[in-house]
Amino acid sequence: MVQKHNQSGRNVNRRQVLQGVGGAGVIAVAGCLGNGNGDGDAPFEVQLEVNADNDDRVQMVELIAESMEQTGYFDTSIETYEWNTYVGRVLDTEYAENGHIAAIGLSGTFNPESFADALHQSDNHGQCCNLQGISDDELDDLLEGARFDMDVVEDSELRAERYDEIWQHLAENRYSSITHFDLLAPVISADLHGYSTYPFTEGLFDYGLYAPQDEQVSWLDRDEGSHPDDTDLGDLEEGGMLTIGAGANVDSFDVPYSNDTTSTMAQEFIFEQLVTSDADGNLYPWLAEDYELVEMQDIEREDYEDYMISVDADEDGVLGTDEQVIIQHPDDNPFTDDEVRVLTPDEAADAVDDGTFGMQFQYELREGVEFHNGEELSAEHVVATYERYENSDLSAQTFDSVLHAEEVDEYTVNLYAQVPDAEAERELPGVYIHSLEQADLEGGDMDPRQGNDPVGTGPYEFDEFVDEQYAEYTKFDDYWVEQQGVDSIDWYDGPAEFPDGPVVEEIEFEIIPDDATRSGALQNEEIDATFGLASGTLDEFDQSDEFLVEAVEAGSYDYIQYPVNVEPWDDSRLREAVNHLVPREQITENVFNGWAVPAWTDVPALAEELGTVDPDALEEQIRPYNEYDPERAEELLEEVVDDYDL
Amino acid sequence: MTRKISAERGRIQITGFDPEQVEQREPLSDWTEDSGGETESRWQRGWHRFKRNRTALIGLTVVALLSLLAIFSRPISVMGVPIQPFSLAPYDPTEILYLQDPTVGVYDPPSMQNLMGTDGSGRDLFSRILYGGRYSISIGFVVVAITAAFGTIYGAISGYYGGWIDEIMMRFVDTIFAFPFLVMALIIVAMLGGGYWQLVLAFSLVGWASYARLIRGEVLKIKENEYVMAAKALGARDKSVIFRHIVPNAMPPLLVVASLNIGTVVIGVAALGFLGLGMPPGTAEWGTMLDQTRETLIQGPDGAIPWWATVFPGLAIFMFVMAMNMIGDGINDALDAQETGAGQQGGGA
Amino acid sequence: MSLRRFILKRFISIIPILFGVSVITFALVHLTPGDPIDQMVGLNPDMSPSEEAQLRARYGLDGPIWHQYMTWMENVLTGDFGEVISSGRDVSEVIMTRLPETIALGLFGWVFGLIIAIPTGIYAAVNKDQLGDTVSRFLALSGISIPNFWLGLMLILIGSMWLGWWPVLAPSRLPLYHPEMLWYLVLPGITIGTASAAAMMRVMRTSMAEELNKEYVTAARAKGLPERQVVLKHVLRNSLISVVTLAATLTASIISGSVVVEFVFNWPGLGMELVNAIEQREINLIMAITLFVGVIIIIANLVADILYAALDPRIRYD
Repeated sequence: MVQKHNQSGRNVNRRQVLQGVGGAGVIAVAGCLGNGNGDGDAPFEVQLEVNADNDDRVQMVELIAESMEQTGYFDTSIETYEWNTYVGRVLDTEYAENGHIAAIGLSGTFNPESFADALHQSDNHGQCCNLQGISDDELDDLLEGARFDMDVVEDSELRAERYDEIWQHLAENRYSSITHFDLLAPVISADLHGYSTYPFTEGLFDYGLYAPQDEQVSWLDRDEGSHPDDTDLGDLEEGGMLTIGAGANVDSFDVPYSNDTTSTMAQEFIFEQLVTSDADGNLYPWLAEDYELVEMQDIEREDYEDYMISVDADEDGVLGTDEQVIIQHPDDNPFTDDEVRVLTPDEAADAVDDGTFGMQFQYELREGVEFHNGEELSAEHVVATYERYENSDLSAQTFDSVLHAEEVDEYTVNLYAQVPDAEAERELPGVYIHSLEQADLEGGDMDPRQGNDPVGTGPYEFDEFVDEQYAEYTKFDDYWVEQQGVDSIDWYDGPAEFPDGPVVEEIEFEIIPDDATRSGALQNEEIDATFGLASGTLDEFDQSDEFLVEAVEAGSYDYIQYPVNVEPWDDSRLREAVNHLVPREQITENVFNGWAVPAWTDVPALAEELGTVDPDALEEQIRPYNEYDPERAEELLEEVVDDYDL
Repeated sequence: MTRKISAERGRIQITGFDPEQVEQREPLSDWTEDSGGETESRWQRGWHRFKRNRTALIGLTVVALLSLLAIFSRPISVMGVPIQPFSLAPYDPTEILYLQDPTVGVYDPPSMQNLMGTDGSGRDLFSRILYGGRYSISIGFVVVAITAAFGTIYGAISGYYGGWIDEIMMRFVDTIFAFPFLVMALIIVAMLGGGYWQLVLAFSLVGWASYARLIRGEVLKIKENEYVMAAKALGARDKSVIFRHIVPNAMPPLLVVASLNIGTVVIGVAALGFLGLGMPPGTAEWGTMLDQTRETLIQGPDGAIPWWATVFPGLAIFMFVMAMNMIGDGINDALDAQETGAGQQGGGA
Repeated sequence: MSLRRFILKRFISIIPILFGVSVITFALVHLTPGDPIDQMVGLNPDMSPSEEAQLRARYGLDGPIWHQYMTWMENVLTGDFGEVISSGRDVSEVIMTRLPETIALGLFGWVFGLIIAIPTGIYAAVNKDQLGDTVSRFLALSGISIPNFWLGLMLILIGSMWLGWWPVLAPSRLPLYHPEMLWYLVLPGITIGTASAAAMMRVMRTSMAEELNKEYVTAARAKGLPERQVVLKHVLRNSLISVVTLAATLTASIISGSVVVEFVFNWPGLGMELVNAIEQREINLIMAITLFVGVIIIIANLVADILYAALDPRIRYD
């Protein structure tokens, strides 16, 4: 539910997941005690808060607190909360008045915005994840200008320049300190050959098994003595059952009514989208054979005013309509106004008919794509899918950019964006196409627990699911790539021996919540692959011949955010000083045992292509702000103490 | 003389013995001769016997040593005034060593520099174990003081007045006994949140019932006694009868149960810490220190377990509780407490 | 009073206790601020007060506290413990799937305890104040002093890492009734049973020593009966009474132990479920498990009393 309110910063799979529970889910509820050495005479007293179930994050916060204490300027205490309590607490708008430093994690995407906007954009206060009520008009404008602007849609160089301005602005103001970027490091047994890692957890295995855009395929070879390092495509073997260990239950197979990473991972074997992405974030037509941007107009959200209808709003800001609200008039406030002007799907269609829209993309669907229930993909499926996303758990992140989906003919669909949007190409088609048979199911019903086995166009068919235990899949015989051949995909220019579809015959998706148990299961050869193991053990797996650790820099990151609206934290020198006390090197080396990347800038490798003109120059420019430098910190603190007469 | 040892030490608790049955099975012995006279002499005799009990003395030494080490591990100052300047622990228990000294890592094995190695955050384990006694030991003593005091008053009132007051009060005690004490403490701490005083409160709420039951049994026996009757006949007020005549006589078994209960509470606090409740993470409390180490037991292929992180904190708890139980047994023997019934029905928390 | 009337009376006397247990259980989780609905609202700021009220009504969290209690008790008495809020599963179903795991573990520990305690206790009593007695008493004292979670950790260290006899954790897919599971029960079973073994051994030794000093034993010895026969035939039977009674009341300690021991060994029983439920503030689950445990302990104590009364002819029932 959290990410539902996130207006931006989505990844390819339209999932914005707060990186919460890290490990074995060790319990802890609110607890409080001074750091033991607090003698009460330090000028600044501050409480750091963190969710208790992520051991690494707790350790990181302890380290930051200790580093602050050592200057003698701070009296710190750490309070931990159970995850759900914590999220409820920090997303409350009143949290900003407490004056605590909050630590949390977030999952970013190829879109550089996801490393700035969610944290800092003023509209995201009380939503995800501007926890401290940061409200910086200049920054808001910069963020808007780097995405919703016709110029940047057409000129990606200009877009990168604008992001460079944002990073500089953030470095000077330091509302938050991003500490590190995670490495995604699945551990696989040496029986799995050809595997490579996708930078987002939910795509780890669906991508690893088959992704012609990167000529990626993996296969099982259980022969002793054959090691993945020594084999290539020529040694490919078909068949076998791949057993994957996942750390959480599959909450639901119903795509628009689930938003956790594990559910998405379990769904991605079954469902596909109009486009697909390679590991660098480049897009390729997939279920659509081709697509193009037909038209772009300089439209703002206010321009839909003529089409809007008025609906009641009660004192809690709840709107009196059952329809999906696609656009709400920017001047209206549902909390203070009795009536609010909104655009719902019907009016959106009218607006599009009259030529009012930000962008128009046209998708030519591939013919002869078969669903697991025998239906053939058509424009109707696409339109029905968008309808099912209305008022779903994913509606907010879908209809922040999508205006309308329109069937042109059997194999042609138009998708419209509300305003010019540099991310529209990625954002608009980001839905998993449903079968017509299931397009009318009630929310949450597309799930074996409700008696409906999920049906999609994907390479694997759903077989069986036992709640909290396992899910099983078998290869779909009529998978369209297999039927039509990978060579029929016009952008494919890889080797001829590359298979037409994944070669592993069956997938067993085991649910084993405890990290340690999963680690044990992998070593006992009960499972072939898993992820999310304790970083302390990864080196050992890496050094072993029987396992491979394929790490890539991922989009998820941790940050601490300062209470910028509470004195003395409104003084940027204080925030700058604490930022110099964040020992990024030690965090990655000692807390994460080297399995993380220090955040010297706010933009990870993943988003560098779109997010900066020159990554090296950016690092040179920003890194001095983020170095661990207690001396500089103490200078700044002394200044602040003098100024405030503390 | 048969030596009867309480069945209940440490975490074990025994509930459900109906004191009346025990009394009836075990006809009152020679206690009246002892306690009818001067109580003072009984204590003195007890102390002499205790002194001759080598096991008990070892226990006493260990407890004293661990307590002193905890007190002198780091300086203590109250309102900025240092009242205890010594610092036996080589490092601050919360100091993350690698911040200043990059040669120290996480889970470094024991060495001359770090006698017991370092923990998962690069802190000196030896210093933490010395300092950790402050939490466990003090919570143990504080809780036992509170529960014994409250339980004594509760049990004395219940037993002295008898009748329906006794009936209601004892049914309530029975109800408390229907919960395993750790489960109840767990829920209370989960609901209150962790922290030092929260732990004290949780263990006090679940711990007083055994004292109440014990004292009530004692009171029932003593109150029919001649000298109590005499005091009442002479017009002494209820309060003074209870606290001047009855309670002092019930002290020996109470002392036995209390000494054993300290161990129970220390283990309970550690168990909550181990489950991640209790003190905030990173606190040098013995149980909390063990919490982190559970995951280190599962290593990758050929990984080496940092055994020191698991062995030493547990050993500290074990030593303390064992010593406490040795003292308890010693007191039990020295004061003949079992003959007043404590041997069967005390204990539990 | 006859034994039958004694049992009847004890049965009646547990009714107010059961009532008290339910009140305390309910109060524990309801008198603290913050319930699951507050959390849901926190996670979903869009939720309107009316939706919130609906949710509260659905989970019986509306109305005055005594009314909530009545509703809850009504449901509980008809066997309805409500549902697990996060997953929508039936609480009773969750308990039923977890219970066998805890019973298997507890039973193993209990049997282990008896097997160790009785022979050691006899041996110690017969050889009172000799070296064997001293050693076994020292071991028993250690057994009740050692924190069970640490014992578990140590057994993992020794059994899995140094000896390599056990995998650290039981295979996740093996069903409980599989004979191989007995092997995986060994470490957690010993962990949970050690304290009980030590306590029972101490009682065994004491009551045995006491019996051995009684006149009838002296008489039997005087008659020239072999010592072995004296001990096994006469003394043992009487000494066992207190051990058996103690064994029944040790249920509480085994349940307490299961919470921690299951956590150490990741054993999917009720104790583990309780820890998870507390973590997620699943109040229905917390209340159900607590109530369940309370009832089991009351019954165990009842059994202990009745056993004691039935076995010991000297007891008067009143």
